[in-house]
Amino acid sequence: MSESRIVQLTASDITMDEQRLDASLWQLGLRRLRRDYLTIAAIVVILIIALLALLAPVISNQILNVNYTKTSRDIFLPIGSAGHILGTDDIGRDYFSRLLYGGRVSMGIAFSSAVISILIGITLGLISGYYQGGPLKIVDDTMMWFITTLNSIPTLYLLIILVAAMGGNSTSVRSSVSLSVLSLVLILSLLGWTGTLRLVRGETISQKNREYIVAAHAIGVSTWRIMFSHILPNVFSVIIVSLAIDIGNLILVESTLSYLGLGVQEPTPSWGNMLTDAQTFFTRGLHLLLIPGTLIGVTVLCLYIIGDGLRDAFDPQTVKK
Amino acid sequence: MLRFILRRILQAIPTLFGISFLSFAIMTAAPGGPTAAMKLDPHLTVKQREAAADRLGVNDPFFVQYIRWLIGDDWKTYETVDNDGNVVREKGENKGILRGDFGRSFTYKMPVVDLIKEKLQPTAELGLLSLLVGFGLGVPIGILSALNQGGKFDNLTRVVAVVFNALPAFYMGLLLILVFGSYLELLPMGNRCPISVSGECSLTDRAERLILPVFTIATGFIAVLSRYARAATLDVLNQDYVRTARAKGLHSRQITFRHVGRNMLIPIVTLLGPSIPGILGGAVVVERIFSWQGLGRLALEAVTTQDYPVVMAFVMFGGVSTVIGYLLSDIMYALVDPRISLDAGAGRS
Amino acid sequence: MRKILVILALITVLPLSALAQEPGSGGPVIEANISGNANIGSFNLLRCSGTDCARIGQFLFPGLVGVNPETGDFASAEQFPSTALALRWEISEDGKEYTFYMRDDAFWSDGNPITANDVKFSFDAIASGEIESDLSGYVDAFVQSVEVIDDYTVKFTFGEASCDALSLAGAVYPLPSQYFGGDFTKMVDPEFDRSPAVTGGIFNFGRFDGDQIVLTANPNAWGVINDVVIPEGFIYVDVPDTTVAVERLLSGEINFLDGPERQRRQELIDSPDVQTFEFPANGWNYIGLNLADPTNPQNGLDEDGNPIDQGHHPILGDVQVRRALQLAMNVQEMIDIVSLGQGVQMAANEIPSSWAISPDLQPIPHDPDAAAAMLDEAGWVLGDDGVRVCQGCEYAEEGTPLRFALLVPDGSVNAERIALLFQDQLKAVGVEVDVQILDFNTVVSQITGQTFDAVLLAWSNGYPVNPDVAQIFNASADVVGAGFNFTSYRNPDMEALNEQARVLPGCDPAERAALYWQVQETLQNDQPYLWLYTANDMYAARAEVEGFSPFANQPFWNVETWQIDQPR
Repeated sequence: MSESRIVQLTASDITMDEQRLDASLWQLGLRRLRRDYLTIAAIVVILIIALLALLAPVISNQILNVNYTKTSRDIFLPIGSAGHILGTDDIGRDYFSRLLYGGRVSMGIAFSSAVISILIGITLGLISGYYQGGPLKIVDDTMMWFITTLNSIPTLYLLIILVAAMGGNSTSVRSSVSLSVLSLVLILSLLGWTGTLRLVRGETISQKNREYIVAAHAIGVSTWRIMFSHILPNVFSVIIVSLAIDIGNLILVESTLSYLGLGVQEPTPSWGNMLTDAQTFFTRGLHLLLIPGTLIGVTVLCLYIIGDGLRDAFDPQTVKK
Repeated sequence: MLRFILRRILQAIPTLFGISFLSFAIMTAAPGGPTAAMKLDPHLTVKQREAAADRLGVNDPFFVQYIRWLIGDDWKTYETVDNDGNVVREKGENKGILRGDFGRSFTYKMPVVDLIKEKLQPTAELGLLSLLVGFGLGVPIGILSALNQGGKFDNLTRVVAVVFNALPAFYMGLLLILVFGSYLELLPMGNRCPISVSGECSLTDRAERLILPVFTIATGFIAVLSRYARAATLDVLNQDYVRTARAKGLHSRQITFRHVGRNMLIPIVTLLGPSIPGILGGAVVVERIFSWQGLGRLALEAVTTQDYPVVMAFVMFGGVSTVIGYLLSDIMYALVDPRISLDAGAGRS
Repeated sequence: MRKILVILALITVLPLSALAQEPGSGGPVIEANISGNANIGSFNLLRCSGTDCARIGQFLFPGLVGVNPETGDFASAEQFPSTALALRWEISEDGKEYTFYMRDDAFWSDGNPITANDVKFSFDAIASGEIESDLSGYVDAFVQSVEVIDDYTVKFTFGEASCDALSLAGAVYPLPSQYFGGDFTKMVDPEFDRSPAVTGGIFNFGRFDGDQIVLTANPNAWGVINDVVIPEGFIYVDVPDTTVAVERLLSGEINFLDGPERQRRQELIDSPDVQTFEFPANGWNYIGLNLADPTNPQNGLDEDGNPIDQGHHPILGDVQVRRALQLAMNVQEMIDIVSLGQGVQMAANEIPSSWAISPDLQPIPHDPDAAAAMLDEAGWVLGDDGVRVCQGCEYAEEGTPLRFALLVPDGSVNAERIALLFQDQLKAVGVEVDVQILDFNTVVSQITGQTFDAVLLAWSNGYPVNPDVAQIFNASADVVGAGFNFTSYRNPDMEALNEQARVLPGCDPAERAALYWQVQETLQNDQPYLWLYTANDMYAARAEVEGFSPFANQPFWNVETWQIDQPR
């Protein structure tokens, strides 16, 4: 299932109207959004979770005075134990602080991979679209060949092959961000940009022969400037909308990789590896399984709802009415 | 039509080459190699391990391995010296994939094609059924939701349609097994057929065992398709002619089924083709948690044990089914929307 | 819905269980296969590689040499009644020739007798190197020839007098030579690999569905207790998720499970629906240390067998540091937390249940103060940040912090847990451990490449246990990129003792054990490994499995007598 999700829920599934989005549309969109209580609720929930995760070091070091990697003989302490709000895990580590750090890692991976892949997609899309049909169309052809190739390999397997190939999930004692997290971000961002590329490329192609662009060209405005100032704003809203959904999907991908033993490795916590580990000892405390599972579920659900809500609000197709 | 199909197949050739080259390069770059696990088996002597590596040809340079995989080595003769010092000449045995020989699995010592054939049916059974369920539920949900835009039902479905998809598959699978299998004892917890010596497996038996895994996979399709259907329906509802029809006082359900239905097919058909390779690729997580012996698990195992022939066959299989998937999608596109002519409208690559 | 089905099944089975002694009258044994492997290449024991096919093959193909499950020793069919083909054996004066006298009541499922020719046929097949057998080099290197004396007498000649002879001979499983028309190249046959038509064990091959391997009771079984195989069959069913496997055992979908999830074991022990058997596992965890210079990996010996200077690991090259690390470790805490108290700390390389375990050698106790003192003495003094640094230490440069990397292969939660506890325990004495959890293949290539510092791994022993350590501690096995002595440990005295025990004339177990005790003592002292522990293993069967009375490593020695009601 997850592989079909990865394939299908990308930026390209949102169609884009050619018409430029002007200021009034933005205002209209915001007004619509304000009436969409479901989306607003989702945004609030996400902000709270993100804030807690961001403040993980402060909360656990300063407020609670616990170390999220410190093992102890007090294993499987129940919820509400002294010094451990949510008890401890199977080797006596504080569960609450691990959840906070885990959220930081899971959301951090998802957010940065999504952003990086969108940046890659925009850049290559502009280049590809610009050269399409011109004298240097080999650039575009190569790019299109490359992404067709990439899209033809089932994503999860490409992912697994890459993770296995990059192997070195080395974690270091000193650095708080382990190498495995970095390589995972790298791999995930290298896989997710094809949808954005198609979108930006299409937009670039449709815009570049418009009269105003040709005119701008004639008075000597640089091509790149044209592309950035005229083409990018058109696709931007669609990309931003897809960002929320992409982040949600990537959180799921991270946990799936953990289940397959290819995700973030101990001692770095992530929601995915905490959930996977909890499977073996959930009879010692159901909360160990339910809490990370619910956190993933709620976060992803909110991101989906936000993506949907933003599209409803800002997609010119629906705004036109 | 025929010309179009032919051209698309020709266009696919460089793609397939790219796929094979890319994945072969990544595979061989991975540390260890297929003999790594063997290295820790104390029953094997150093010599034996070297011999095994030689036999598998994994010590050869990348290009030699890649070309042998493409065109085989049955035209080549190998010379080895046996224990008594005699020179033994042996012909290569691989025909290469260009002649339909995907070689033999390092791990299972059997032809890769047979291995994949064995696993295809369970995977297809699970995947296609899930797709069907996904369409059956996702599309109506999306349409109803759009007709009710902003209303209670819309908001409800916006949550319900994606809520199951928001959970990791292994987690949802486990919860389903715990609730329906372990606690309520309503459904079996896995496998394709009842566990028995006789091997009897009626249609009911099969159906019973399909419910949980199909539901787990279908949630993904439901989430995606309902969103698609909702967006597509909104698009259609905003078209001038529909608004006119509404203004004329036509009942909204009539509008839906006459106008929306047909127009909606277009984006959905575009989705159908590309989802075929995803389905045939198997759902490794669901296969694992529900004890389903499908392609997904085979492929995952092959990647982790670096069983190159299996990985490569799997990747090529994925590539070919993607090409076919897009082709089908385009053909259906043309059938649904008569404005599109295949020979002119091959803009999408 | 299923509750109704169960009641119906009960009714139909009741009359059957009254006829308990009819062949195949009991329900099938249903074991969950939790290996998660996607397939099985060959059930032919000569071509099988992996554990799944061995599990099934043992029921299909009888061996020449049997095992006494109680003692874990090799046994002939006269010494312990079983389907072993050899009634007894004779050993020549020089210890190089073993003559096996085979039983004449053993038959293949096609009615042909199992004879000495079949043994010879299998040996020839392995030795030819043409059937892709993992055994080929192994048997080839030690067994010189196999001769058929008469139909039921076969003689093995070995290159040297070795106490391993029985295990080598036992690896040559006879196959039905008549089925292959005497041509072993026909053994490379997908048909026979995947559904062997002619077998000779207590079960016959039924079918292989991908997720179920089904064997059926052999109505003409020989060499079995009470002359009858009661279970209808043996089903090995794929259940890759270990959590699900426990749930399915509890619900009765399966009735036998080898190695349930550790965290669920107490629940199984307490459950009235399940019977359990716990025993010390036939394997052990350890932390291997690289004693040689990791920046310049060298083989232990050159081509002429002379030792090569391999340099010293800056930290772990010093035996005093290694001993201090062992003292700093709290192995009991690891057992208590990771294995929930179910394990035994080891003194050295021998598991407690082995016949060669030294009775006097005690495990090294946890003593952080002694560890700290020893590190001070070795020239590693506590720095400002709580990490020790070199001040007059043996091999490292002055000022080097006492920090090294511990490699841990991914995929084992227990190993990860042990590593994290190790890290915390060593921190207490000022040693910093960088835990690196890596892909298994990466770990293997780093340790065999000998560029690592320390590695957390486990060895699983063969069965019956062979205490020989040549493969992991002899200098000849210290081969960069291939050998298992990746620690680059070298001690000629230890090697001599070990070799003496291997070829001891007469192979008297007590005398051999005494030699192995000295080996263990030397290894404990030299500390190429940090000694950890051996965790317990468990077999769990449903309560309705009558006759379940396993021995360690031998769950199925009496499987033909199992009476299982309620086949589902």
